Amino acid sequence: MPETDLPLLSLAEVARLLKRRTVSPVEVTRAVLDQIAAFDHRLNAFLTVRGDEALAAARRVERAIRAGRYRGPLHGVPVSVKDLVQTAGIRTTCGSRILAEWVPDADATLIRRFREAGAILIGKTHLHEFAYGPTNLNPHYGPSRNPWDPDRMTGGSSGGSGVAVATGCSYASIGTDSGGSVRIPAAFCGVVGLKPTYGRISRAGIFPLSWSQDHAGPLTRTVADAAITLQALAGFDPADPGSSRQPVPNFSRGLTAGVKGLRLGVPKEFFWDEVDPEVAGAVRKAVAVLVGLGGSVREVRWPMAAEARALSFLIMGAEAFSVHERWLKERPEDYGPDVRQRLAQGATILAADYLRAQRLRRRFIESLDAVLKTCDVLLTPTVPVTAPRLEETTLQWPKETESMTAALTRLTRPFNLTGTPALSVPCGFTAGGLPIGLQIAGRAFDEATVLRVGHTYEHAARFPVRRPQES
Amino acid sequence: MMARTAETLDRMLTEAAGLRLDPAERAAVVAAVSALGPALDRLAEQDLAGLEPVTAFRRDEA
Repeated sequence: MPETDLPLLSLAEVARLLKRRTVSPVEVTRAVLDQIAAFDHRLNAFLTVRGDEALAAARRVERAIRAGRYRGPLHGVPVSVKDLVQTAGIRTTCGSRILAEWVPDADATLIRRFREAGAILIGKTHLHEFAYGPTNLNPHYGPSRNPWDPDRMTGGSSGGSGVAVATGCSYASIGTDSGGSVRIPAAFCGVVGLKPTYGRISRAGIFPLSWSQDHAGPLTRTVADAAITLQALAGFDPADPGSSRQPVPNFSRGLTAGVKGLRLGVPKEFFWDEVDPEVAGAVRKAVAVLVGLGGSVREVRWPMAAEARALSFLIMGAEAFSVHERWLKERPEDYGPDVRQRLAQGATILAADYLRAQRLRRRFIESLDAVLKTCDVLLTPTVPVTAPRLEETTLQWPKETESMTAALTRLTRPFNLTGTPALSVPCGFTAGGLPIGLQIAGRAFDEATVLRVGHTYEHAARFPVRRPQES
Repeated sequence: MMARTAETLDRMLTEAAGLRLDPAERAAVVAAVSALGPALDRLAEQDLAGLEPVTAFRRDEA
Protein backbone atom coordinates (compact mmCIF):
# COMPACT_ATOMS: atom_id res chain seq x y z
CA MET A 1 0.00 0.00 0.00
CA PRO A 2 1.38 3.46 -0.82
CA GLU A 3 2.38 5.24 2.37
CA THR A 4 0.19 8.18 1.38
CA ASP A 5 -2.92 5.98 1.66
CA LEU A 6 -2.27 4.93 5.22
CA PRO A 7 -3.57 7.99 7.08
CA LEU A 8 -6.76 8.00 5.01
CA LEU A 9 -7.77 4.43 5.79
CA SER A 10 -10.70 4.02 8.10
CA LEU A 11 -10.00 3.37 11.76
CA ALA A 12 -11.35 -0.17 11.35
CA GLU A 13 -9.04 -0.81 8.38
CA VAL A 14 -5.91 0.48 10.08
CA ALA A 15 -6.84 -1.47 13.22
CA ARG A 16 -6.92 -4.68 11.18
CA LEU A 17 -3.47 -3.92 9.75
CA LEU A 18 -2.09 -3.12 13.20
CA LYS A 19 -3.52 -6.30 14.68
CA ARG A 20 -1.97 -8.40 11.90
CA ARG A 21 1.25 -6.41 12.25
CA THR A 22 1.12 -5.54 8.55
CA VAL A 23 1.91 -1.99 9.66
CA SER A 24 3.41 -0.80 12.92
CA PRO A 25 2.04 1.88 15.25
CA VAL A 26 5.18 3.89 14.55
CA GLU A 27 4.58 3.82 10.79
CA VAL A 28 0.96 4.80 11.28
CA THR A 29 1.84 7.62 13.68
CA ARG A 30 4.53 8.94 11.32
CA ALA A 31 2.07 8.88 8.44
CA VAL A 32 -0.45 10.88 10.43
CA LEU A 33 2.20 13.37 11.56
CA ASP A 34 3.24 13.81 7.91
CA GLN A 35 -0.38 14.51 7.08
CA ILE A 36 -0.55 17.14 9.84
CA ALA A 37 2.62 18.73 8.45
CA ALA A 38 1.03 18.85 5.00
CA PHE A 39 -2.35 20.28 6.01
CA ASP A 40 -2.27 22.03 9.34
CA HIS A 41 -0.36 25.19 8.39
CA ARG A 42 -3.14 25.92 5.93
CA LEU A 43 -6.23 24.68 7.76
CA ASN A 44 -5.41 25.33 11.44
CA ALA A 45 -6.95 22.16 12.82
CA PHE A 46 -4.70 21.77 15.86
CA LEU A 47 -3.86 23.99 18.80
CA THR A 48 -1.27 21.50 20.08
CA VAL A 49 0.48 18.68 18.21
CA ARG A 50 2.29 16.05 20.27
CA GLY A 51 4.67 14.60 17.68
CA ASP A 52 7.53 13.36 19.87
CA GLU A 53 5.25 12.12 22.62
CA ALA A 54 3.00 10.36 20.10
CA LEU A 55 5.99 8.61 18.52
CA ALA A 56 7.25 7.56 21.96
CA ALA A 57 3.80 6.17 22.77
CA ALA A 58 3.73 4.41 19.39
CA ARG A 59 7.04 2.67 20.19
CA ARG A 60 5.64 1.47 23.53
CA VAL A 61 2.49 0.21 21.82
CA GLU A 62 4.56 -1.53 19.16
CA ARG A 63 6.45 -3.45 21.83
CA ALA A 64 3.18 -4.40 23.54
CA ILE A 65 1.56 -5.66 20.33
CA ARG A 66 4.68 -7.61 19.40
CA ALA A 67 4.61 -9.18 22.84
CA GLY A 68 1.05 -10.37 22.16
CA ARG A 69 -0.70 -7.81 24.35
CA TYR A 70 -3.08 -6.47 21.69
CA ARG A 71 -5.93 -4.62 23.39
CA GLY A 72 -8.44 -4.02 20.61
CA PRO A 73 -9.27 -1.80 17.65
CA LEU A 74 -7.93 1.45 19.10
CA HIS A 75 -4.57 -0.03 20.08
CA GLY A 76 -1.88 1.92 18.26
CA VAL A 77 -4.35 4.24 16.51
CA PRO A 78 -3.59 8.01 16.49
CA VAL A 79 -6.52 10.08 17.72
CA SER A 80 -7.09 13.69 18.68
CA VAL A 81 -9.37 15.48 21.11
CA LYS A 82 -10.92 18.92 21.16
CA ASP A 83 -8.89 21.29 23.31
CA LEU A 84 -11.79 21.57 25.75
CA VAL A 85 -10.88 18.17 27.17
CA GLN A 86 -8.40 18.18 30.03
CA THR A 87 -5.11 16.40 29.45
CA ALA A 88 -2.63 15.91 32.27
CA GLY A 89 0.59 17.78 31.58
CA ILE A 90 -0.65 19.09 28.21
CA ARG A 91 -2.01 22.62 27.92
CA THR A 92 -5.76 22.83 27.55
CA THR A 93 -6.66 26.25 26.19
CA CYS A 94 -10.41 25.80 25.64
CA GLY A 95 -9.73 27.99 22.61
CA SER A 96 -9.41 30.96 24.94
CA ARG A 97 -6.92 33.59 25.99
CA ILE A 98 -8.04 33.14 29.60
CA LEU A 99 -6.83 29.53 29.76
CA ALA A 100 -4.05 29.89 27.19
CA GLU A 101 -1.43 28.57 29.62
CA TRP A 102 -3.55 26.12 31.60
CA VAL A 103 -1.85 22.78 32.09
CA PRO A 104 -4.21 20.44 33.97
CA ASP A 105 -2.76 17.91 36.36
CA ALA A 106 -5.35 15.24 35.61
CA ASP A 107 -6.80 13.63 32.51
CA ALA A 108 -10.49 13.76 31.65
CA THR A 109 -12.15 10.37 32.00
CA LEU A 110 -12.41 9.95 28.24
CA ILE A 111 -8.67 10.51 27.86
CA ARG A 112 -8.08 7.80 30.45
CA ARG A 113 -10.37 5.47 28.53
CA PHE A 114 -8.56 6.23 25.28
CA ARG A 115 -5.25 5.43 26.98
CA GLU A 116 -6.65 2.19 28.42
CA ALA A 117 -7.72 1.21 24.90
CA GLY A 118 -4.15 1.89 23.68
CA ALA A 119 -5.01 4.88 21.47
CA ILE A 120 -2.23 7.38 20.76
CA LEU A 121 -3.06 11.03 21.45
CA ILE A 122 -1.61 12.96 18.52
CA GLY A 123 -2.89 16.41 19.44
CA LYS A 124 -5.53 18.81 20.71
CA THR A 125 -7.87 20.27 18.13
CA HIS A 126 -9.09 23.79 17.49
CA LEU A 127 -12.48 25.03 18.67
CA HIS A 128 -14.71 28.04 19.01
CA GLU A 129 -13.70 29.95 22.15
CA PHE A 130 -14.98 27.97 25.16
CA ALA A 131 -17.10 25.99 22.67
CA TYR A 132 -19.62 28.84 22.67
CA GLY A 133 -20.32 29.25 18.97
CA PRO A 134 -20.84 27.19 15.81
CA THR A 135 -18.47 28.91 13.36
CA ASN A 136 -14.99 28.19 14.79
CA LEU A 137 -14.01 31.76 14.01
CA ASN A 138 -11.64 32.29 16.91
CA PRO A 139 -10.04 35.70 17.50
CA HIS A 140 -7.26 34.25 19.66
CA TYR A 141 -6.02 31.43 17.43
CA GLY A 142 -7.45 32.35 14.02
CA PRO A 143 -10.19 30.47 12.22
CA SER A 144 -9.98 26.81 11.40
CA ARG A 145 -10.49 26.46 7.66
CA ASN A 146 -12.68 24.11 5.71
CA PRO A 147 -10.71 21.32 4.01
CA TRP A 148 -12.90 21.55 0.90
CA ASP A 149 -12.49 25.31 0.55
CA PRO A 150 -10.18 27.14 2.97
CA ASP A 151 -12.13 30.36 2.55
CA ARG A 152 -15.12 28.71 4.20
CA MET A 153 -16.02 27.76 7.75
CA THR A 154 -15.41 24.36 9.28
CA GLY A 155 -18.41 24.79 11.52
CA GLY A 156 -17.97 24.45 15.23
CA SER A 157 -17.46 24.39 17.94
CA SER A 158 -15.42 21.22 17.28
CA GLY A 159 -14.14 22.55 13.94
CA GLY A 160 -10.56 21.36 14.33
CA SER A 161 -11.79 17.82 14.92
CA GLY A 162 -13.77 17.91 11.67
CA VAL A 163 -10.72 19.05 9.71
CA ALA A 164 -8.39 16.58 11.43
CA VAL A 165 -10.56 13.62 10.49
CA ALA A 166 -11.38 14.81 6.95
CA THR A 167 -7.70 15.26 6.09
CA GLY A 168 -6.31 12.07 7.64
CA CYS A 169 -4.71 13.90 10.55
CA SER A 170 -6.54 11.59 13.00
CA TYR A 171 -8.50 8.36 12.60
CA ALA A 172 -10.98 9.66 15.19
CA SER A 173 -11.35 12.90 17.06
CA ILE A 174 -13.49 13.67 20.08
CA GLY A 175 -15.61 16.78 20.02
CA THR A 176 -18.25 18.14 22.33
CA ASP A 177 -21.80 19.04 21.39
CA SER A 178 -24.10 21.36 23.37
CA GLY A 179 -26.11 22.67 20.41
CA GLY A 180 -24.66 20.80 17.45
CA SER A 181 -20.91 21.21 17.89
CA VAL A 182 -20.01 17.68 16.78
CA ARG A 183 -22.62 17.35 14.02
CA ILE A 184 -22.17 20.79 12.40
CA PRO A 185 -18.43 20.44 11.69
CA ALA A 186 -19.03 16.83 10.65
CA ALA A 187 -21.53 18.03 8.05
CA PHE A 188 -19.36 20.91 6.81
CA CYS A 189 -16.15 18.86 6.65
CA GLY A 190 -17.70 15.74 5.09
CA VAL A 191 -17.19 13.30 7.97
CA VAL A 192 -19.34 11.34 10.40
CA GLY A 193 -20.21 12.93 13.77
CA LEU A 194 -22.14 11.29 16.60
CA LYS A 195 -23.71 13.00 19.58
CA PRO A 196 -24.62 10.05 21.76
CA THR A 197 -27.28 10.02 24.46
CA TYR A 198 -26.69 12.44 27.34
CA GLY A 199 -24.71 10.56 29.98
CA ARG A 200 -23.39 7.88 27.62
CA ILE A 201 -19.83 9.30 27.50
CA SER A 202 -18.43 10.87 30.65
CA ARG A 203 -17.95 14.63 30.62
CA ALA A 204 -15.73 14.58 33.71
CA GLY A 205 -12.74 16.75 32.94
CA ILE A 206 -14.36 18.56 30.03
CA PHE A 207 -14.70 22.31 30.54
CA PRO A 208 -18.45 22.97 30.79
CA LEU A 209 -20.56 25.15 28.53
CA SER A 210 -24.10 24.13 29.44
CA TRP A 211 -24.09 21.33 31.99
CA SER A 212 -27.49 20.00 31.10
CA GLN A 213 -26.82 19.98 27.35
CA ASP A 214 -23.12 19.08 27.10
CA HIS A 215 -22.26 15.84 25.34
CA ALA A 216 -18.96 14.39 24.10
CA GLY A 217 -18.90 12.40 20.89
CA PRO A 218 -16.69 11.07 18.11
CA LEU A 219 -15.97 12.44 14.64
CA THR A 220 -14.72 9.75 12.27
CA ARG A 221 -14.55 8.93 8.57
CA THR A 222 -17.06 6.06 8.75
CA VAL A 223 -20.04 5.09 10.86
CA ALA A 224 -18.33 1.83 11.85
CA ASP A 225 -15.44 3.90 13.21
CA ALA A 226 -17.86 5.99 15.26
CA ALA A 227 -19.23 2.75 16.74
CA ILE A 228 -15.73 1.54 17.62
CA THR A 229 -14.81 4.84 19.25
CA LEU A 230 -18.08 5.09 21.16
CA GLN A 231 -17.52 1.55 22.46
CA ALA A 232 -14.20 2.53 23.98
CA LEU A 233 -15.52 5.66 25.68
CA ALA A 234 -19.06 4.77 26.78
CA GLY A 235 -20.02 3.71 30.27
CA PHE A 236 -20.84 4.91 33.76
CA ASP A 237 -18.44 7.30 35.45
CA PRO A 238 -19.07 8.33 39.06
CA ALA A 239 -17.05 11.50 38.43
CA ASP A 240 -19.76 12.83 36.07
CA PRO A 241 -23.05 13.61 37.84
CA GLY A 242 -24.91 13.20 34.53
CA SER A 243 -23.37 9.85 33.71
CA SER A 244 -25.77 7.01 33.03
CA ARG A 245 -25.78 3.48 34.44
CA GLN A 246 -27.55 2.12 31.37
CA PRO A 247 -25.83 -1.00 30.05
CA VAL A 248 -23.49 -0.41 27.12
CA PRO A 249 -24.37 -2.67 24.18
CA ASN A 250 -22.00 -3.81 21.45
CA PHE A 251 -22.39 -0.91 19.02
CA SER A 252 -20.70 -2.68 16.09
CA ARG A 253 -22.69 -5.90 16.20
CA GLY A 254 -25.92 -4.72 14.56
CA LEU A 255 -24.39 -2.33 12.05
CA THR A 256 -24.97 -4.55 9.03
CA ALA A 257 -28.56 -5.53 9.89
CA GLY A 258 -29.97 -3.16 7.27
CA VAL A 259 -33.10 -1.04 7.51
CA LYS A 260 -35.73 -3.50 6.33
CA GLY A 261 -38.75 -3.05 8.56
CA LEU A 262 -37.45 0.11 10.22
CA ARG A 263 -39.83 3.07 10.34
CA LEU A 264 -38.06 6.18 9.09
CA GLY A 265 -39.71 9.35 10.33
CA VAL A 266 -39.43 12.46 8.19
CA PRO A 267 -40.68 15.57 9.98
CA LYS A 268 -43.32 17.45 8.06
CA GLU A 269 -42.30 20.91 9.18
CA PHE A 270 -39.57 22.94 10.88
CA PHE A 271 -36.66 20.77 9.67
CA TRP A 272 -37.39 21.73 6.03
CA ASP A 273 -38.26 25.39 6.54
CA GLU A 274 -35.54 27.73 5.25
CA VAL A 275 -33.19 25.00 4.02
CA ASP A 276 -30.94 25.44 0.99
CA PRO A 277 -32.57 23.53 -1.90
CA GLU A 278 -29.37 21.62 -2.70
CA VAL A 279 -29.16 20.45 0.92
CA ALA A 280 -32.83 19.52 1.07
CA GLY A 281 -32.55 17.68 -2.26
CA ALA A 282 -29.55 15.61 -1.14
CA VAL A 283 -31.24 14.66 2.13
CA ARG A 284 -34.48 13.71 0.36
CA LYS A 285 -32.43 11.52 -1.98
CA ALA A 286 -30.78 9.88 1.03
CA VAL A 287 -34.23 9.11 2.44
CA ALA A 288 -35.17 7.55 -0.90
CA VAL A 289 -32.03 5.38 -0.80
CA LEU A 290 -33.05 4.06 2.62
CA VAL A 291 -36.60 3.44 1.44
CA GLY A 292 -35.17 1.51 -1.51
CA LEU A 293 -33.40 -0.72 1.01
CA GLY A 294 -36.62 -1.67 2.75
CA GLY A 295 -37.18 1.10 5.26
CA SER A 296 -40.70 2.46 5.43
CA VAL A 297 -40.97 6.21 5.46
CA ARG A 298 -43.62 8.04 7.43
CA GLU A 299 -44.30 11.71 7.75
CA VAL A 300 -44.29 12.82 11.38
CA ARG A 301 -45.10 16.05 13.17
CA TRP A 302 -42.99 17.58 15.92
CA PRO A 303 -44.21 21.17 16.14
CA MET A 304 -42.56 21.78 19.49
CA ALA A 305 -39.14 21.54 17.80
CA ALA A 306 -39.71 25.16 16.81
CA GLU A 307 -39.36 26.19 20.47
CA ALA A 308 -35.84 24.75 20.74
CA ARG A 309 -34.02 28.00 20.11
CA ALA A 310 -35.82 29.97 22.82
CA LEU A 311 -35.61 27.12 25.32
CA SER A 312 -31.95 26.64 24.63
CA PHE A 313 -31.29 30.38 24.88
CA LEU A 314 -32.69 30.36 28.41
CA ILE A 315 -31.00 27.15 29.53
CA MET A 316 -27.63 27.50 27.84
CA GLY A 317 -27.56 31.24 28.45
CA ALA A 318 -28.07 30.87 32.20
CA GLU A 319 -25.75 27.90 32.57
CA ALA A 320 -22.92 29.42 30.51
CA PHE A 321 -23.24 32.74 32.36
CA SER A 322 -22.97 30.86 35.64
CA VAL A 323 -19.76 29.17 34.45
CA HIS A 324 -18.18 32.43 33.25
CA GLU A 325 -19.71 35.10 35.49
CA ARG A 326 -16.59 35.87 37.49
CA TRP A 327 -14.23 36.13 34.51
CA LEU A 328 -16.83 38.09 32.56
CA LYS A 329 -16.94 40.71 35.31
CA GLU A 330 -13.24 40.77 36.12
CA ARG A 331 -11.60 40.40 32.70
CA PRO A 332 -14.17 40.89 29.95
CA GLU A 333 -11.48 42.13 27.58
CA ASP A 334 -9.95 38.65 27.51
CA TYR A 335 -12.94 37.21 25.66
CA GLY A 336 -13.49 37.58 21.94
CA PRO A 337 -16.35 39.97 21.15
CA ASP A 338 -18.83 37.31 19.96
CA VAL A 339 -18.43 35.08 22.99
CA ARG A 340 -18.39 38.05 25.39
CA GLN A 341 -21.68 39.25 23.95
CA ARG A 342 -23.21 35.79 23.94
CA LEU A 343 -22.23 35.27 27.57
CA ALA A 344 -23.60 38.69 28.52
CA GLN A 345 -26.99 37.71 27.13
CA GLY A 346 -27.14 35.20 29.98
CA ALA A 347 -27.16 38.05 32.49
CA THR A 348 -30.68 38.93 31.36
CA ILE A 349 -32.08 35.53 32.36
CA LEU A 350 -33.65 35.32 35.81
CA ALA A 351 -33.84 32.18 37.92
CA ALA A 352 -37.57 32.00 37.25
CA ASP A 353 -36.91 32.15 33.48
CA TYR A 354 -34.41 29.32 33.73
CA LEU A 355 -36.79 27.15 35.75
CA ARG A 356 -39.68 27.86 33.41
CA ALA A 357 -37.48 26.67 30.54
CA GLN A 358 -36.45 23.54 32.42
CA ARG A 359 -40.11 22.79 33.18
CA LEU A 360 -41.07 23.23 29.55
CA ARG A 361 -38.09 21.11 28.59
CA ARG A 362 -39.83 18.16 30.22
CA ARG A 363 -42.74 18.65 27.84
CA PHE A 364 -40.28 19.08 24.97
CA ILE A 365 -38.65 15.73 25.82
CA GLU A 366 -42.03 14.03 26.08
CA SER A 367 -43.06 15.47 22.73
CA LEU A 368 -40.10 13.85 20.97
CA ASP A 369 -40.61 10.60 22.86
CA ALA A 370 -44.18 10.57 21.50
CA VAL A 371 -42.93 11.08 17.94
CA LEU A 372 -40.40 8.29 18.35
CA LYS A 373 -43.16 5.91 19.37
CA THR A 374 -44.43 6.15 15.79
CA CYS A 375 -41.06 5.71 14.10
CA ASP A 376 -37.61 4.33 14.86
CA VAL A 377 -35.50 7.28 13.74
CA LEU A 378 -35.96 10.81 12.40
CA LEU A 379 -34.19 11.84 9.21
CA THR A 380 -33.43 15.53 8.65
CA PRO A 381 -30.73 17.75 7.22
CA THR A 382 -27.95 18.32 9.78
CA VAL A 383 -27.50 21.99 8.89
CA PRO A 384 -29.72 24.10 6.60
CA VAL A 385 -26.75 25.15 4.45
CA THR A 386 -23.29 24.01 3.44
CA ALA A 387 -20.17 25.69 4.80
CA PRO A 388 -20.55 29.50 4.58
CA ARG A 389 -17.70 31.79 3.69
CA LEU A 390 -15.63 32.92 6.66
CA GLU A 391 -16.84 36.51 6.52
CA GLU A 392 -20.57 35.75 6.38
CA THR A 393 -22.45 36.70 9.54
CA THR A 394 -26.04 36.22 8.43
CA LEU A 395 -28.03 34.09 6.01
CA GLN A 396 -30.62 35.64 3.77
CA TRP A 397 -33.77 33.59 3.25
CA PRO A 398 -36.69 34.66 1.06
CA LYS A 399 -38.70 35.88 4.06
CA GLU A 400 -36.08 36.75 6.66
CA THR A 401 -32.48 37.31 7.60
CA GLU A 402 -31.13 34.81 10.11
CA SER A 403 -28.00 35.16 12.25
CA MET A 404 -25.31 32.64 11.38
CA THR A 405 -25.31 31.18 14.89
CA ALA A 406 -29.06 30.66 14.89
CA ALA A 407 -29.03 29.14 11.40
CA LEU A 408 -26.19 26.71 11.93
CA THR A 409 -27.62 25.28 15.15
CA ARG A 410 -31.29 25.37 14.16
CA LEU A 411 -31.67 21.69 13.23
CA THR A 412 -29.24 20.14 15.70
CA ARG A 413 -30.18 21.99 18.90
CA PRO A 414 -33.50 20.17 19.54
CA PHE A 415 -31.62 16.95 20.28
CA ASN A 416 -29.41 18.59 22.90
CA LEU A 417 -32.51 19.58 24.82
CA THR A 418 -33.84 16.02 24.61
CA GLY A 419 -30.46 14.40 25.28
CA THR A 420 -31.20 11.82 22.59
CA PRO A 421 -28.64 10.46 20.10
CA ALA A 422 -28.13 12.11 16.72
CA LEU A 423 -25.67 11.28 13.98
CA SER A 424 -24.50 13.28 10.98
CA VAL A 425 -23.49 11.24 7.93
CA PRO A 426 -22.21 12.70 4.64
CA CYS A 427 -24.92 12.42 2.00
CA GLY A 428 -23.39 14.09 -1.02
CA PHE A 429 -21.77 17.23 -2.33
CA THR A 430 -23.14 20.41 -3.81
CA ALA A 431 -22.35 21.32 -7.39
CA GLY A 432 -19.68 23.57 -5.88
CA GLY A 433 -18.03 20.62 -4.15
CA LEU A 434 -19.11 21.20 -0.55
CA PRO A 435 -20.25 18.29 1.65
CA ILE A 436 -23.83 17.90 2.88
CA GLY A 437 -24.90 16.13 6.08
CA LEU A 438 -27.85 13.83 6.79
CA GLN A 439 -28.95 13.85 10.44
CA ILE A 440 -30.29 10.60 11.91
CA ALA A 441 -31.85 11.01 15.36
CA GLY A 442 -33.10 8.21 17.57
CA ARG A 443 -34.44 7.23 20.98
CA ALA A 444 -32.51 7.67 24.21
CA PHE A 445 -29.77 5.03 24.55
CA ASP A 446 -30.58 3.62 21.12
CA GLU A 447 -27.38 4.70 19.41
CA ALA A 448 -27.30 1.21 17.90
CA THR A 449 -30.27 1.90 15.62
CA VAL A 450 -28.99 5.34 14.66
CA LEU A 451 -25.60 3.85 13.76
CA ARG A 452 -27.26 0.98 11.89
CA VAL A 453 -29.24 3.37 9.69
CA GLY A 454 -26.16 5.51 9.10
CA HIS A 455 -23.99 2.54 8.21
CA THR A 456 -26.62 1.13 5.85
CA TYR A 457 -26.95 4.46 4.07
CA GLU A 458 -23.19 4.99 3.87
CA HIS A 459 -22.67 1.60 2.22
CA ALA A 460 -25.58 1.95 -0.17
CA ALA A 461 -24.79 5.50 -1.26
CA ARG A 462 -21.23 4.67 -2.32
CA PHE A 463 -20.06 8.12 -3.22
CA PRO A 464 -16.99 8.27 -5.37
CA VAL A 465 -14.16 8.57 -2.85
CA ARG A 466 -13.16 12.20 -2.51
CA ARG A 467 -10.66 13.56 -0.06
CA PRO A 468 -9.45 17.10 0.46
CA GLN A 469 -6.25 17.84 -1.43
CA GLU A 470 -3.11 19.58 -0.28
CA SER A 471 -2.54 22.81 -2.14
CA MET B 1 -39.93 34.77 30.35
CA MET B 2 -41.89 37.58 28.83
CA ALA B 3 -39.93 39.68 26.42
CA ARG B 4 -38.40 42.61 28.31
CA THR B 5 -37.98 46.17 27.13
CA ALA B 6 -34.59 47.32 25.89
CA GLU B 7 -34.33 49.60 28.89
CA THR B 8 -34.91 46.75 31.32
CA LEU B 9 -32.41 44.53 29.55
CA ASP B 10 -29.84 47.31 29.62
CA ARG B 11 -30.34 47.77 33.36
CA MET B 12 -30.02 44.02 33.94
CA LEU B 13 -26.66 44.02 32.21
CA THR B 14 -25.22 47.03 33.97
CA GLU B 15 -26.92 47.50 37.34
CA ALA B 16 -27.92 43.94 38.20
CA ALA B 17 -25.08 41.94 36.67
CA GLY B 18 -22.46 44.68 36.89
CA LEU B 19 -20.92 43.89 33.51
CA ARG B 20 -18.49 46.36 31.96
CA LEU B 21 -19.50 46.47 28.31
CA ASP B 22 -19.05 49.42 26.03
CA PRO B 23 -22.30 51.03 24.83
CA ALA B 24 -22.11 49.49 21.36
CA GLU B 25 -21.68 46.01 22.75
CA ARG B 26 -24.44 46.53 25.28
CA ALA B 27 -26.72 47.62 22.47
CA ALA B 28 -25.78 44.51 20.47
CA VAL B 29 -26.58 42.26 23.45
CA VAL B 30 -29.91 43.99 24.02
CA ALA B 31 -30.75 43.68 20.32
CA ALA B 32 -29.89 39.98 20.27
CA VAL B 33 -32.09 39.22 23.29
CA SER B 34 -34.89 41.46 22.01
CA ALA B 35 -34.90 39.57 18.72
CA LEU B 36 -35.99 36.49 20.64
CA GLY B 37 -38.95 38.37 22.13
CA PRO B 38 -41.78 36.68 20.20
CA ALA B 39 -40.35 33.20 20.86
CA LEU B 40 -39.94 33.98 24.55
CA ASP B 41 -43.48 35.31 24.70
CA ARG B 42 -44.71 32.04 23.20
CA LEU B 43 -42.94 30.12 25.95
CA ALA B 44 -44.40 32.41 28.58
CA GLU B 45 -47.91 31.57 27.39
CA GLN B 46 -47.52 27.81 27.90
CA ASP B 47 -49.29 26.11 30.78
CA LEU B 48 -46.74 24.71 33.22
CA ALA B 49 -49.17 22.78 35.40
CA GLY B 50 -47.78 19.43 36.46
CA LEU B 51 -44.33 20.08 35.06
CA GLU B 52 -41.34 19.81 37.37
CA PRO B 53 -38.08 21.26 36.12
CA VAL B 54 -35.50 19.03 34.54
CA THR B 55 -32.75 19.73 37.06
CA ALA B 56 -30.17 17.02 37.70
CA PHE B 57 -30.66 15.93 34.12
CA ARG B 58 -30.29 12.25 33.39
CA ARG B 59 -31.78 10.84 30.26
CA ASP B 60 -32.58 7.58 32.05
CA GLU B 61 -34.60 9.52 34.61
CA ALA B 62 -36.03 12.29 32.43
